[in-house]
Amino acid sequence: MLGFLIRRFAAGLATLFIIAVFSFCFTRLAPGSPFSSERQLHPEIIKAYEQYYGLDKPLYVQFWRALKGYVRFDFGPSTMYRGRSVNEYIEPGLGKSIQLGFLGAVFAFLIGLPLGVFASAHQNRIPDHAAMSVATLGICVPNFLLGPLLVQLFSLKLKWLPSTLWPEDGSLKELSKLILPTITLAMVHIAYISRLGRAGMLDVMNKDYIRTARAKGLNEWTVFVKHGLKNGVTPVVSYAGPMVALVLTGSIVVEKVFAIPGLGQHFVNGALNRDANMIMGCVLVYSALVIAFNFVVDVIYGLLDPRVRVS
Amino acid sequence: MRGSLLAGLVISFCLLACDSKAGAPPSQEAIGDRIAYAKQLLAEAGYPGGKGIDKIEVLYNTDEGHKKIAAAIQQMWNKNLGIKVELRNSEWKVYLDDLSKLRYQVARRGWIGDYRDPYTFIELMKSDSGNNNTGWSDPEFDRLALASGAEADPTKRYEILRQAEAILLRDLPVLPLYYYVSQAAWTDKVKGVYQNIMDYHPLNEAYVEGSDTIVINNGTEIQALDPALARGVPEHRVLNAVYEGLTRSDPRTYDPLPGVAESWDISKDGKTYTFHLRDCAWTDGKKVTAHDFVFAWRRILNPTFPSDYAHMLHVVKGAEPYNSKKTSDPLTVAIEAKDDRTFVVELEHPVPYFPELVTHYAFHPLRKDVLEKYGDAWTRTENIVTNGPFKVKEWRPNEHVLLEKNDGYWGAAKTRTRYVKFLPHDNRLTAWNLYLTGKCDWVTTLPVEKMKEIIQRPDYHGATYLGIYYWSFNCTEGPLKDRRVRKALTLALDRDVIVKHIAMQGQVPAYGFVPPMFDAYKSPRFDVKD
Repeated sequence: MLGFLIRRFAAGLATLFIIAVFSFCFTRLAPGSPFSSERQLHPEIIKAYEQYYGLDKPLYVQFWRALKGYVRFDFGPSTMYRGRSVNEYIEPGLGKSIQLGFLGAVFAFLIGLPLGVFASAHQNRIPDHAAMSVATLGICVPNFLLGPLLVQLFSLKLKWLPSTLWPEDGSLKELSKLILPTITLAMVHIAYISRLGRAGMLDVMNKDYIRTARAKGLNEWTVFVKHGLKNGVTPVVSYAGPMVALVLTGSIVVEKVFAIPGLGQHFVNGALNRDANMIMGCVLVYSALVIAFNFVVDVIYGLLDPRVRVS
Repeated sequence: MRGSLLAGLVISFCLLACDSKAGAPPSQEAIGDRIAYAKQLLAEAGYPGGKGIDKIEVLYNTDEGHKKIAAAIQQMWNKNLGIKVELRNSEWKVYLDDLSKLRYQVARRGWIGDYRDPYTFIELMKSDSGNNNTGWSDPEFDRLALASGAEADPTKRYEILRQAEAILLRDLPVLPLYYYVSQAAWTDKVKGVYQNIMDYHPLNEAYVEGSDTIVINNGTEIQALDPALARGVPEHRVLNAVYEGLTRSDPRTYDPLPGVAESWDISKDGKTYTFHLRDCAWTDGKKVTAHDFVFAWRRILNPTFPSDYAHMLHVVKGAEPYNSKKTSDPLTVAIEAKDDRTFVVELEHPVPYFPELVTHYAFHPLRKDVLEKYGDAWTRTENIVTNGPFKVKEWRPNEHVLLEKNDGYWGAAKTRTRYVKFLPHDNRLTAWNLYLTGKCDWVTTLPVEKMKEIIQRPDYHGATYLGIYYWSFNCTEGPLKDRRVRKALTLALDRDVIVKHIAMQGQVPAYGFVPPMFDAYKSPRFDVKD
């Protein structure tokens, strides 16, 4: 198990490094300059900017400098927010994005998994069709449409829930601000998880050992929960890794719609304004998160299924 | 491409709907004449009926609003002149790059005046201007622009500027489309806010009835709290609330009022301003002195200092040579602190709008000792020292900038609100929802897709705005080198239709370049026969 963990960890670091190299090159290759503005600046001023940000140095020197910063979690100065460092924006934003992502993921599991299991227990009957219709709808409606629709209905028409912003404190009234963003973020994953859960359960429930369990006289409930569920949900667990990536990237849109001061906005604005350090900071933080969660999922998977550990 | 095709269809419907209305629009005849003349010009240039022009490419930065206008232009040039038009959009930074390298044929442009004088527009098209980007230059135009500075008599000065504009409209490197309107919505509880053509609202006397806080959605995260590094309107709102220059703006008329300077004397030749500073203090209690202005102005003019707005100071004698490295001695810039309370500026030439110009944040005073002590970190909330009606209380990135009333400000007795909270949300629909649900009192950007219903609302505030929406021609190659072609293209657009049915926000059709908002300035027009 230890060897497996070390291998996975090293692979994760290597992936992160490769991502850093490629993204760094892409930020330098992108057309347009962070210093272009509607009123063209004097070449001297652009030179002054480039000196200040070290952009006049050869590329490998720039990369080496940046890399030394990355390992210390220091992404350097922002070109978009002048006189400020990228860290000042990423740190507060990251916490909020993770919290929202976590809420979205948990909510997706809490709703999606029971829905899928429930549907599988009533295969091809009305509850199954109803649950799967909801799931299909969740996949089809993109979150940039779902978000504004929910706001239109629950905030503006019914006035039940606040439309936007991040909670100021831990009170229920403030926390209710998170309800609509969480639903918006989770919807598509509820759909996938329920479909995966249903398929996994149906697959398992037709296996020989289930027939054996039934044959030895166990009641259907025990068969279903004790023997079926554990193996039926493994596809859902393997979905958790990619889902973390999707929840994080999905939150870019959701943060915009609900005016949540998370990391996503900095990523988008950084890219639009060619703020190379901001882009690198966001890319690396997002990548590190995704890699870390995949690592965790691998470990859990290894625990659930001994075959994974060996190969 | 499919998007623009669709937009084109929508516009065709607009045009059809408009044509079929009972009673022709009032300018139907004029537009008919203009199109006839455009056709004639095109034929004279050797392209009868558009023959010989392969196609014209129209570039705009990705945006729904610009796309609609571009599609209208496409449709109108095709219908009126028989010219095939292709649309190209690119994201902002790429678009800027293409503009500056003249990699375009026709491109979307726009400009908001920096001060209330025609020169802020004329200056854009000087051959050495960073805004020109057309490849067009005219020695006579440059000469007149320069000469306007040397002219002390305001009437004669306007006449010189008018001549310069006439040259611009003769050659038409630019295609004026309409003059902007400013748009905002604020609730009826917001008081002490007035409209003016600069769409700038000093917050000194603004407040919200029954609340100690005024919440404003500023439209974007501000990029800097350092006045020398800032650019843009959202920064303007925050910076002018936390700093004060020699003068400040009247909230009703935008006229310059005494700020840090209690009064000022102007020499007979109009070139030397002596500002007498009032006894007022920074937020840390130290007095504001003339040296703070000298320091700040030299800093922004320092050629190694990356500032977008240093050119604003080029009216000061010696500023331009120092700023563009023609001399390395900062002492050649003609500013001087005669004593702590007397600040003397010598100008390159008389500048009638100078007292208004110095309200701009590029001219704000700064504290040398604070900047030296904290280096790059000096604008952090715990370090920053300012001198305006408000002070920075909290800045949470992408959440808000919170200002609190500065009780030590000399005019604090008139400040009505305790707090000002600037929200940074750039999604216009999100901001509008915030406003509708009472989360902010004032939105400075409005969602384009809801404008039709918003302009009917009593809390909508639209006003003429000192700015022009125009498109520019790349005058260096192809048929667009010929000014007759450019004129034909400029004439063949029905601005009434564009304003009424496509832009739809009460904009004013433009037949000149300088917005017609200066009383004594007689704007020339381009739609005249040569």
